Amino acid sequence: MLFNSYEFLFAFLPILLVGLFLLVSFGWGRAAVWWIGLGSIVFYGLGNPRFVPLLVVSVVVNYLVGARILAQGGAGADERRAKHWLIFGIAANLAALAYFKYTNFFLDNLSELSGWQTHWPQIVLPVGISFFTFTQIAFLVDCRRGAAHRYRFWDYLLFVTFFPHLVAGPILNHKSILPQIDSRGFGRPGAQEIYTALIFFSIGLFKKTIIADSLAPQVQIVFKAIPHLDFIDAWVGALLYTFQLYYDFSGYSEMAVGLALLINVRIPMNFNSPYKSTSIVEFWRRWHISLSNFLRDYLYIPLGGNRFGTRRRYQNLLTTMVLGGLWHGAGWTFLAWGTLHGLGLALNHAWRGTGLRLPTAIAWPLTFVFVVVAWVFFRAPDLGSALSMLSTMAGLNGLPSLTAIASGQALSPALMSPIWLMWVAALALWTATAPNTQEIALAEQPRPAFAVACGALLAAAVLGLDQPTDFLYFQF
Amino acid sequence: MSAVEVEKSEPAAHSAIAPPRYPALLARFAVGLIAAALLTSALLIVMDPYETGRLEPLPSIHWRANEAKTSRATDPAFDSAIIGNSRMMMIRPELLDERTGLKFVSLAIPGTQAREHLRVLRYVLQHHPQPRALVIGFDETWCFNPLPRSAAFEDWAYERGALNYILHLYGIGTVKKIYHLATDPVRSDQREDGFMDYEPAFHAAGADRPEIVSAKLFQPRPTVPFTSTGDFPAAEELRQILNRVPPATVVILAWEPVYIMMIPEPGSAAETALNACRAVYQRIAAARPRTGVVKWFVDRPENRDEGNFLDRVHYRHGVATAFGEDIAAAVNGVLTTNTAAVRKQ
Repeated sequence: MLFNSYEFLFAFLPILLVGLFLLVSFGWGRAAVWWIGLGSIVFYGLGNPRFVPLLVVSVVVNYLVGARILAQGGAGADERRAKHWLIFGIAANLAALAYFKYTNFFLDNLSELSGWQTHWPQIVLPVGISFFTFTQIAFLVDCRRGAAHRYRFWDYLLFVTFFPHLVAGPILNHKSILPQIDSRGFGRPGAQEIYTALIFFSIGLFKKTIIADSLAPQVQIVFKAIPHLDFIDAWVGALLYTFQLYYDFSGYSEMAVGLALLINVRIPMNFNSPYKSTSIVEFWRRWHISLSNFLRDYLYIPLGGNRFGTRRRYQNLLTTMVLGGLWHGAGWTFLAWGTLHGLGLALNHAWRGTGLRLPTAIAWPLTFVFVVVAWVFFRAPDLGSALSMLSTMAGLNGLPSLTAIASGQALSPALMSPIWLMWVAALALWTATAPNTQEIALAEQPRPAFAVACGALLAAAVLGLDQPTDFLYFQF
Repeated sequence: MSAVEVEKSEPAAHSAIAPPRYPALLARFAVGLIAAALLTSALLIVMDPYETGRLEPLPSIHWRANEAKTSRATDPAFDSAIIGNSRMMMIRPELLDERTGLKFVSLAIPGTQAREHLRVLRYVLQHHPQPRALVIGFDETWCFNPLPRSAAFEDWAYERGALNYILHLYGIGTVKKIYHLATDPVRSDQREDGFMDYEPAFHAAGADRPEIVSAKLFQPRPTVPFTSTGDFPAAEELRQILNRVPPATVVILAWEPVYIMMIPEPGSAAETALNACRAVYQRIAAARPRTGVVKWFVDRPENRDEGNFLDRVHYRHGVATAFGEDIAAAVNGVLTTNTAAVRKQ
């Protein structure tokens, strides 16, 4: 089910919230947890009924494995058995992820390399598997580290399946969420929480239905016509995708934050104005923050982080980002995107090591262009297309003359109209200068005008519910 | 890790700044939401691109024409209608007017299929209970089972009920339609009689280049039935609708021209299935007075000339004129033949 659908906004959510508040007002706190847990599974099942058993089995198996690991701790700890259970748990999660996400990629490449003309059945990717798998791997690792407790099953189930984050994150950490589920405040938001929730949800929905969805058709046109693009078409297309992805994913994440807050659960912010970054290191602290944190805590640091010298640190960065790229999808383009960011991070750290600093006027555009270039790999259908588009963007296929630019003839009429150029300019200006959603929603002194404006944004955003589209991160 | 931290504000006594009053902020949020929703609704009603007249006496802009044809269908200036999809778009109403003395409007809506043609037919009959003539374009979709739903067609615009209409009007689809009507010269050039020439659009998109047309035309002729081989739900629905149409109304079932590679291979299961379907509609036509069938979905010289087509189903002006003349002749033919029979009834 989509947040940006009539069914969700006018049926599922009201029923869920009315039920929750009734249960809470009767003092049936445990029933409220069961209600939201069941509601979350229904939410998943309405969009993906065939994968509900997979989700439930995944939750049950991880819960039991976590319990086995925890049972080996304490007095008379059996470290070896705990380690075996952890390896089993991680392997089982990765095996499920590998089967659904990477089998076709592996077989297709094997077929191409070997020349076998075998047609494999396409394996459909269960929505959200990357997110609920990573969430649970983190839980198992923390069980082994002694950083997790034995939780009630229903609390754990709700933590994993909690509908605001289930299909596209943020990737939650049990330490911050499970205590909230187990608290008396669960399902009891005050006026402040409801207000903040509405601000987050309204801005998030507006970002998705009005901004991201309006860019989507043009992005599709551009990336389908890569061989026919001219210099400016290619740049405008890449920038349109840059903004589409940001407004789509950050819009989803903000709706998730708002929805969780309506139930009085605080989940982490996933974005913090990433396109204002002045370095790649900073970008990864502002973009998809929950994934960055996961990769740092459960991959980069276990690999050794920066503890074994500069060279090893760069290797670890590269490995982390390559795997982070592959997490997004099985494809050479994602591998290239991850590699590029891994190299960017290594280079950024090396530059910092010199003690030199670039002025913001240079650092910001440099970082932004790097990110835009990398997004071309992320969006292009294959490596060849990505390289073709990038060579056009680099001017290798010709540059427009100044006369053509001045007379507005530098765009291909069949592919790009000047209105997209204006859109890109407006979005660039807005994204680089305007306050972000949390700065508005969490202001110490909220401005009444913002409250009115956000109400109006919600009214405008609802317009987009008549043509609902999937969120881009559902495919990951 | 950053997190949403919603801290409770300090009491006013400890701070020079008063703590935010969240209930008041919520009220302002509600005011913004309701005011914007009402204002947006009012603007959409005034600029209603469908112009059904359903919301009268509320004022609305006249857009001259719209793609959904809802306003054309209700226009009392016309007494006869052409119904279909893009394959009927090239039939000029004025040609039929000139030949028959009737006043035709084109309700050809691109991207629609039999299910939608039936919906438009019912809508026409609501607003013109006694039309002089109805020309219905026929293609293979009339033989489908089940009948697919066309994504481009807004069913709700043709349904009864003002509230349902307003709720559906409140959508980005309406905003986009208004934007296109206001800015797209092709659409705004659409005429009052609903006619729109698609050849310029093919040309503008470069889709009339010979190599592109050839690639579309030369595909194998169908051998596997692309129609239903059993029941034809559209036929049953058409029969029921025609039962309510006054006997004096001329009805023409016009099988549209297609390039030869779209016509099933002789002797194939596809041909058998298509013939069975045609026979059903032939019987419907035979059972009703003043009803004729025009057959261009067949192997004939015009359908073998690749110069007559832009793709396998979209024909050029020459074929459009010849097909239009045949339709006009059919209208005149049934008018002449069945007049006596109708008088007796």
